[in-house]
Amino acid sequence: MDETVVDCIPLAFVVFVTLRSATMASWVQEYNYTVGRAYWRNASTGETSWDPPGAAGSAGTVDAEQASAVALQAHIKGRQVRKEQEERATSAKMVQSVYRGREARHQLSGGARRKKYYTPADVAAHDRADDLWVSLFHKAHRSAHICL
Amino acid sequence: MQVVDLSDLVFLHAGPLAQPLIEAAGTDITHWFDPATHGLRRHIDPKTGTLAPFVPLGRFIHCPPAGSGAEFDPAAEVPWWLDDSLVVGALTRKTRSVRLLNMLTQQETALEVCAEETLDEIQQRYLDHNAHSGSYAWKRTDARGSRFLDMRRTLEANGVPDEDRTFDSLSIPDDFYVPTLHLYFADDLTASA
Repeated sequence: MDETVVDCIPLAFVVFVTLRSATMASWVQEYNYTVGRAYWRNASTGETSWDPPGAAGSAGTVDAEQASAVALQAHIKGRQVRKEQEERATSAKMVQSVYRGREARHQLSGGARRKKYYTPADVAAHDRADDLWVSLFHKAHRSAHICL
Repeated sequence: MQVVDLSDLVFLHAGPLAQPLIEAAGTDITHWFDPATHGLRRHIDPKTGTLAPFVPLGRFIHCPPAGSGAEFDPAAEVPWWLDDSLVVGALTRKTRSVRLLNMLTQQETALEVCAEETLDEIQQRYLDHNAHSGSYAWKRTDARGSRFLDMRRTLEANGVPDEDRTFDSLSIPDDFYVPTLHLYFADDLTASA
């Protein structure tokens, strides 16, 4: 529904422009020599006016222009906001799935009791892409003697 | 000398750069890094003649691309091998074997434990084999007689030495002798874990 409203706005703008040029077409500019000033006459109704066509519509035209500008702005802003919301939603989903993955792993590995020290066999149990451990910066070799 | 959990890193950086890490899952990758600097190993690239990261298994996450000398900004992100938040614990310097004999049921369990671990931590490992492992009194009987063990200290400190090195020097197999601890059921009226 949101989308259809947004799509209607450029269409409304086009309609407005066409109407405006149509009203322009029926008015012709003439010159009043006695007063020495140009005036406008509607060829179809015979109506005359000192002001340019749509003098009555003069204020109306400004309003319509403002309205269409506001509508366009709203359209662009709306698009930006939607994009931001989508980005926020995807990043939130990412964080959620990371969290869920961690929770699931925690439950799968029998509560995965956090240890202070791990044997190579403990590390080797986490050998999947979604449960991936490695050990680093290992200094000791097999026959190292531990003095504790 | 640390164990790091890269599951989330690989998830967030899914792609070809994650592949070398996935293939190395569960293993020790100390040899990927320079022991002195804890950075990547470097070599003179035979093609360009410049100093470049040495990654024979392929470039991986946070590894600067070849030929990017000064313009690569590694400070943009802490590389995972230096990120303390990924560390889950330390890798033991030495593993040792111990047997736990349940005197109530006569079931014997062989465990591989860390030499640094206290008996309390070994008891946590024994939980996988006995959900009620906290309800036992741990004793050791050897030439010095029979005694209760101090659960807050290591096996070594409790007079159960790790003799692997002696066996090695005498060309005797490691598993020639594995010390046994005797576990006596002493119900502490707790629910099993």
